[in-house]
Amino acid sequence: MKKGPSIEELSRHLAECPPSFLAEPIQPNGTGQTQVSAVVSDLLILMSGHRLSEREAKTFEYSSSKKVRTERNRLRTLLVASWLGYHPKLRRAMDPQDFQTFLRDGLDQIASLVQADSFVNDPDRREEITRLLLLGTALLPEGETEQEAQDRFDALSTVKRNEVLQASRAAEERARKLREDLARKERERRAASTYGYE
Amino acid sequence: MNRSLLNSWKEAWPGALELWSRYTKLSQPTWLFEATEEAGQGLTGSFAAIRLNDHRILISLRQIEEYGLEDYAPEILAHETGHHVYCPANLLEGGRALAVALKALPTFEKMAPSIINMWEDLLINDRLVREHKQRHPEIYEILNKKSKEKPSLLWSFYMRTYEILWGLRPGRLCAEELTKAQEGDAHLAARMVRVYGNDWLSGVGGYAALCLPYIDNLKSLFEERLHLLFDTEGMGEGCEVPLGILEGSEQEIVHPSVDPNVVGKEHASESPSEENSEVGGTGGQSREPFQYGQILEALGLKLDEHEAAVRFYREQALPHLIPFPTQETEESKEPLMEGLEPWDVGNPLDQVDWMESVIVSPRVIPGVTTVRRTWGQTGGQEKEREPLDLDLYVDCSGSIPNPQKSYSYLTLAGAIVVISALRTGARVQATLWSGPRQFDTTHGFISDERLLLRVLTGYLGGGTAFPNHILRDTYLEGRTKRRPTHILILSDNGIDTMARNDEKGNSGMTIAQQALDKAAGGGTMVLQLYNDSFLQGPFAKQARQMGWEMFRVNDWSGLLDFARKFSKLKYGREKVKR
Repeated sequence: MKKGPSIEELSRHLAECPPSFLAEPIQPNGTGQTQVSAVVSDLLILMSGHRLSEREAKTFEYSSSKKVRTERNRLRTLLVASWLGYHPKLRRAMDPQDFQTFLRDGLDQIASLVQADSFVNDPDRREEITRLLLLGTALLPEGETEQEAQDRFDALSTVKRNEVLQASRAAEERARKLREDLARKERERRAASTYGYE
Repeated sequence: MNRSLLNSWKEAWPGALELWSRYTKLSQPTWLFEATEEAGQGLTGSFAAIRLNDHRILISLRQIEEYGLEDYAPEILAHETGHHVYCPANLLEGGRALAVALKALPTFEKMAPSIINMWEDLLINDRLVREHKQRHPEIYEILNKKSKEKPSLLWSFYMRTYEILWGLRPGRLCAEELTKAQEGDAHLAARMVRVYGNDWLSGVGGYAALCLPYIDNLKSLFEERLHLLFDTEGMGEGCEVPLGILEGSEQEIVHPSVDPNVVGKEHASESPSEENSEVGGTGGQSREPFQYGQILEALGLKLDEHEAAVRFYREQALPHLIPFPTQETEESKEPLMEGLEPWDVGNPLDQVDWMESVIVSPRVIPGVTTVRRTWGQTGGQEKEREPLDLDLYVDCSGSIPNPQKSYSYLTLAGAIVVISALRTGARVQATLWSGPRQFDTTHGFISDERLLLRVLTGYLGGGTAFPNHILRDTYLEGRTKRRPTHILILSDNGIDTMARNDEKGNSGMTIAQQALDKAAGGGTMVLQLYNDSFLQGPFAKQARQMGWEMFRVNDWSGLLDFARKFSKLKYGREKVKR
């Protein structure tokens, strides 16, 4: 794996994401402010001199007016990831084809679980998308081994966490019942000694 | 003693302080070298501890060597400093955390301090590792290797949380295989550390709730590894009890898996969990005095049950103090200058009358030529208000619950009135009574709040016989000229024993009538009654005719009603006739 910039540097860059990269993607009816495919295409031109073809551009737009609700967060996440891709050192280190593939296929799962704004506002999610992008473009964060990078990503991964949280949520029901049972037992025990005869 | 080890730890100390802030000031840790020294300082089980009383850190260099932690001075010292400057930082926050944790860990009160310590350690260590790249994972690795016991599930869950927090290889700290649910719990705990990093107290309840099933699963509540890290044990030793410990403890306990701050609004439960119904939620409270005692004990404050009850009712009463009735006197007193007298060097400097002193002699010689004014009093034009004194009779017969063990609205009502009275400058006499000749009293009107609250929260638990002889001795015999006094009786339907004759054969009701007249400040009976029928009975009717006010206080609303009405009683508008 090639060496990439440090996680701290990229997270800082992400935290400074301008509002235009968090703006509303243009919908099929013309509302919205940002054409996501244009942003991606511009970035690819900057990286390799090649623009998106018309067919490729379609994968970075709403597929139909009926899918605005379901595809909105993915497109907004794409915008945030594009801003991350604009980081000069990262832009130079990434393979443009890998990056384009990552943007097309690598964000679907996480975008279904995390709101795009969190990738800017929440430090953990900032780090998560940064690591996801580095892994997706076969880059190693500065100062980390391959194993460390994988472990740290696993620890942050919303997708992985979501799997185990389902189990934890079911356990919560049992934990709450346990707490209520114990509290009731304690109340009964105290009630027996209210008058201080113990 | 290893001199070079001591020197290297001393050298690491300023750096450890600076990690938190360049302005952090703490005195050098107390270095301990022998087991006997550690025992003398109350350091049992752990190799380090904090003391909030004098902001001290205790470090056992003997144990540091024993565990092979000699190279981790910056980590251990910065961690202990974190307890002083970050969490718990002070006894009040420590106490509040305990109040919340006790609620989340019913029947496992003894584990609450350890669980809070684990939560605090997560927050402190995470900050030190992330911001300062400290080597805390290595310390846990060493401790894990040194321990011969199989780790408990609680410990494994705790270690896994660190692995997730710091992105460590799975298995580096947690050797055990966890189930999916336990893995999920560790993820939740790690997320909580980030969410509540700036508001550590708000995460205590959720973290304790997360730990409860693991504690329930423990074979023994004592685990060597947990105890080894328990560096906040006895941290409050020698401190005064801070006010406000129970504040905020009425908040519901939210498990992190349904906490919108942790899992996001979309994953959090829409409806509040059933446990909300456990909490009164209307300004009342579900805390018991014994629980308050548990908190103080866990903080390292050595108070007996009675003393803890005194602090508990005082804390509960303070937000509800009322304007205690006062009376208008005929006239106020105003100061009148009467002359001059020598000012001596032992007198306060601000009393020197410099103008008069210079007139006596232009060359001022302190203590020789210096003079001060003397003042007398003269009648003023304005009316003055004077507080009533308070004469309190507290029933603690067997029919009244022990206020040291269970929450007593009657005792709280008494505490509110006593503290309110003292704040206006009144003096109070308190009498705790039960059966014939079973009583405890302050023997006169005093201003010592603690002593008065001790009488108020005392318990005899015997028969029931109102102490008519004390009422008689106070008002009908001995010194008769006193400030107008309000007589307050806290009791239940056993108050009707007031109608019995005293040991000299005098009618109890006659004594009550004459005492009320002599006291000249009115009388109130606050009664814990399960229905109103007693208030319609012959005793109550007769007492009301004499001029006694009667209140039924069984619950929070009754207490508030009493406090509101009592503060508006009109004794104060009557002029004192002396």
